[in-house]
Amino acid sequence: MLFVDSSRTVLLSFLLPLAVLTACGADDSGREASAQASSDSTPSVTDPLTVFSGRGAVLVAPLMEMFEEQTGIPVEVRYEKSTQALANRIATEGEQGDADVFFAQDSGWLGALAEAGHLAPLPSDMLSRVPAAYRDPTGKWIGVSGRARVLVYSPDRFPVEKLPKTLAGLPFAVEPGRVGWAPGNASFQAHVSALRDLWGEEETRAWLTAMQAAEPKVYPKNSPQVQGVSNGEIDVGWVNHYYLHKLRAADPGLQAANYSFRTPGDPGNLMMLSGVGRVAYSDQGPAAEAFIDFLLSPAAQAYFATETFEYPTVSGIALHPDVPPLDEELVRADQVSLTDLSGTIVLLRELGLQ
Amino acid sequence: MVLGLGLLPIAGIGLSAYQPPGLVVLPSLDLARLGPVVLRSLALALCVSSLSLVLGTALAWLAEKTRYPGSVIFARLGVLPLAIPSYLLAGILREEFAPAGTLGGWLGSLDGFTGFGPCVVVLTLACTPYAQILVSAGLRAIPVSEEEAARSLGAGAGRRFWVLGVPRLRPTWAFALMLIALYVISDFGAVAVLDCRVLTWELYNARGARDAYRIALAVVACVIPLFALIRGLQGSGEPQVTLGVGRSASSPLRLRGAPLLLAYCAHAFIVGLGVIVPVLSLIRWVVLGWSAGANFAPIGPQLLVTLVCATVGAAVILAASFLPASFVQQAPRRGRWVEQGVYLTSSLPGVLVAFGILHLSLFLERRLGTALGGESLWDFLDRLGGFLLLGYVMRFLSQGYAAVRPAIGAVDRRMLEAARSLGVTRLRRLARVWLPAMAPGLSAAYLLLFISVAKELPVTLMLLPAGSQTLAYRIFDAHSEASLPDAGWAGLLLLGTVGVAQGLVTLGGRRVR
Repeated sequence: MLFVDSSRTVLLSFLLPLAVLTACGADDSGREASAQASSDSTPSVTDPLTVFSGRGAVLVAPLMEMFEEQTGIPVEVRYEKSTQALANRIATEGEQGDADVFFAQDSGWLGALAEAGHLAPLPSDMLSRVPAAYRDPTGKWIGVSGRARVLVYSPDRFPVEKLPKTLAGLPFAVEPGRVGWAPGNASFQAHVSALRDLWGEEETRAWLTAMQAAEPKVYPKNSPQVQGVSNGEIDVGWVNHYYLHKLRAADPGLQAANYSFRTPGDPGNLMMLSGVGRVAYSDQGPAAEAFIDFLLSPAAQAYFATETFEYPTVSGIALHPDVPPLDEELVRADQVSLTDLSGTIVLLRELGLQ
Repeated sequence: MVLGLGLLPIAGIGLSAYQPPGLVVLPSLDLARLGPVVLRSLALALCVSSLSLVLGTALAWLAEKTRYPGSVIFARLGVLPLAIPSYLLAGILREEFAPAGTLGGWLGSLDGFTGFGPCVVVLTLACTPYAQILVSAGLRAIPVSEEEAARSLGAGAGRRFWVLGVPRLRPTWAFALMLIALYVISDFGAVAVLDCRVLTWELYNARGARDAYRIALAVVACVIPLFALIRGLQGSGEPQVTLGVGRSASSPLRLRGAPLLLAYCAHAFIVGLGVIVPVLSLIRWVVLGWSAGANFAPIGPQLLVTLVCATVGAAVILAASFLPASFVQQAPRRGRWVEQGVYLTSSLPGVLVAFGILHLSLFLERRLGTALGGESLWDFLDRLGGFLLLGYVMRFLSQGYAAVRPAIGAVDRRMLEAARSLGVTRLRRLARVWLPAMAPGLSAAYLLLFISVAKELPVTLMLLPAGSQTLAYRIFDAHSEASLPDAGWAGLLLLGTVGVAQGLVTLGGRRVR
């Protein structure tokens, strides 16, 4: 098999240079060794666990390797630019699909899959490891890390005093063409779902239309917006908090800062969850649960805190020193309103944003 | 077989309309919105092909008809932008020309380097070398005696170009114009990175929607007429293309003053922005990441997958090219249609090919369900890289065919007949007659296909099996995550891989000569 994550087979088959063989073949031998050394509690697995990931390889590939090393369970990951495309694929393929786990960038599409019956219930002892606000009320998905929705802005070009006190004021606070957003991104869509819930359909439509009048620059994701603020493409972007810290770790000279709306409980200050669920049609139940269990483990939670600068959903994990503690007065953590994505996607399509 | 290959993505496009509804039932695509996208795609193709042609003609004329300090080295460097994929070039120039970027800050830029205008710049950089190579060949075809006669009659350089060059170059220009227009309409990487809302980028974004077939059909409607025009012009317009830039025998003009300054400006645009800035930027991104202690994502598996894809992909394409090439060689008249099929198949944009194959495979998966020992057909072919290889074959079949056909023609039929009459077995004939005659052409073709597959983006992005990434995929992924050190590292490795393969081609060419 050509592309199964078995570097040695590939190398033997195609006689690639020895240097490449040494560099890449090491993964497998390590995996085999750790598989032998893995504990009795680890499920016995021969087929790889297929994870559909709406989170990019740059962010979570090391986590996958940690899981493989720790459990000996081989993982195949399908990374996709679009969480929506992955969720739709799981829904349309149904029993014929090969996804075992859906690792979503945001809980919106998890909720949509759960509602449509494509996710299996998770064990209650697993669910109880996070606060109730960080999991699906029906027990079909669980949040593994959280991020606050914020504005990212340029302190040099856009004084903080000019930033609006509420999200509703954003379209009127920025100059045309100097604000960015990512309508194709799952966080954006989940946030618009929340706005529909909090503001109602008409007010949300009016706000989106006002934003369109501000000629926002469209980005595929959140992190390029942070980069766009720093390199002067835009003055303000609408993102999750952790992209700033992630990019600053690679470029200490990054010229950008995060901003939470100053109004307590403002719809702009939402807590978004990255979550995970087991696909109902998976025949890899134990391995899938081992994977979810791993994401809730102290090692993985510490990874989210220190490497991706997110808020761990399991209590007792220290935050990265650069990440401010969650201001519970400002930030809303209710997740239920994020999951009605159908209406959101239709609205975005009607406004020409999809 | 060729007809079947060409029809596969078209069948996939049709079947995409019958996929089951996803989680969300979307309202239909507004066709009124599609109109501006089509117009923008055509406008982009027109702008880029016109600019590339003007610039390419000027550079070809400089290389062939003039001499000035640095002219030879500039002529050689001028074709190097061909080695840099458009998505990589676009990503680099977007960062460098941003208001706070190195070049943007220097120029006092106020706006981001995205959208239609920047896309014209990037694609012009990518396409000018094609125009230059074609026009150079056209200029070389002008008989030296005519040039000398015109000169002796007192005609200046401009007059000679107008009287001797323009009439001969007209078909070449038309051919180059259409070829570049087709390249631009098919481009995915640059338009995606610079967010230019043209057909290919729209199709990629709508790939999961049931009515995305409308965008796909619009792409087909743009491509087919261009293809027909190119094939119509090919006989008269395609000059004898020689890779590498030479100099005609006529005594060259020595440039001075303002024309010399203009020449250096043209070189600075192509070589500076198309070669020097990209390489320096990639190095700077990696060094910045290292000095900041950034955690680089693992890159070894991506390099390995790139090498495997390119090694296997090039071999499969070359093998697939034998069938149409030998058929056309044996029956040239009937083979004309096969040849048209080969070129039509490969003229379809990569994103369209991938979209068609993806939906075709999903349809087969739904219809055929499980087979092959409990594993579904989709899983089996997907794991094996079957759909990906099919996509590569479709994208680059014409490239393989163009190399294999003359290679087959190079085999000495008399020697074959003699070997046969002496009772030499088929296997020995293959080893002693066929392979030695074909080896030089095939090995160069193999390496060029290796380079094409290594750089390929849309087919790889949509059809690469789960769990794998190539370097091209990683560049696109890392750039969309604004992870510049990772993009830089992957970019340097990709350029290194392409450079080694290109070096082997050059070395092989010298040996043959």
